[in-house]
Amino acid sequence: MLDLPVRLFPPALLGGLAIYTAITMLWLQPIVEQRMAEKHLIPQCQANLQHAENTTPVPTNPKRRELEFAIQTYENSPLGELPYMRNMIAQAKRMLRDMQPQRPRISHLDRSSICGCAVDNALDALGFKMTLYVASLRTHTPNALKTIDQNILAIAGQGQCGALPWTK
Amino acid sequence: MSKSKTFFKNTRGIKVTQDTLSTRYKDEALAPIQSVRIGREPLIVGGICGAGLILFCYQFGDLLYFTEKLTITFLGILILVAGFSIAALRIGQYMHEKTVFWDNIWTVQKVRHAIAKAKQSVLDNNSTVLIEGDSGAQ
Repeated sequence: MLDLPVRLFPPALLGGLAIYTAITMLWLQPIVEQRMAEKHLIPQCQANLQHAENTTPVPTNPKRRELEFAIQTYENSPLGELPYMRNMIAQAKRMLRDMQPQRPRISHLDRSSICGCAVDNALDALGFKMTLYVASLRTHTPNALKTIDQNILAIAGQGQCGALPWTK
Repeated sequence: MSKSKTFFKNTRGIKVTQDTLSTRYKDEALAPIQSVRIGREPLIVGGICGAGLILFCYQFGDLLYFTEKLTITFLGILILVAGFSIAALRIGQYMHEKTVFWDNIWTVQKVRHAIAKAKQSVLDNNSTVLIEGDSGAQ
């Protein structure tokens, strides 16, 4: 009876699989993770952040609207003709220009570092599933790897790797 | 005393004579040997690792640089060849089997054939003695 498992799984076969798993974990998996990050995941994450940056609506500033209303009111009234008031209105217009709402932006360097960190965290979270993906030579693709882009965006959006100005 | 016939001898100290199998550190009598087996475990281990590395290059080729592909494939082929080339000579005696030595497959095959020839020659000698003895009695 004890002979059957040894016949089915000879020690040489188990040893070979153990050595292959060790080679995968220590050598092949880090290469795959690094290249996947460089070639696909980080550029995709950066493109996603860029898209999020471009599509985020410009924030509204109620104080600016109040100032704009006040300027218009004074300009249309006889008081606006007074020289002192004219100076005041000109100064208020300059303030209005300074209060022009800006679209929230992050630098390319920040975007790279946020994406690099988010990709690292997402790949770390995969753990043994990634080993299985590499060891099985892409015959088994875990679901977590198929949805890794969304996971990376979620990690970046949560602020674990640095705050995004449009999520404040 | 008659001189023993040598069936195999190499520079690494392996020698098969009519009644002994000698390695560098041990002499073994051929008489109790019931079976001779060639252990091919390195072929299984090398096959898994070597084929794994070569297939890795094929499947993940889009992520690897050319030099990496070349290195990993070469290493895989090297492991496959090494796995194929290395073998063990195992002899089975009453109730147990043991490894006598590890060497390249070609040497191990030659020693195996030499052992078979040596045992056969001993059998032939014995039968000759028996026939001569019988004829003498008449």
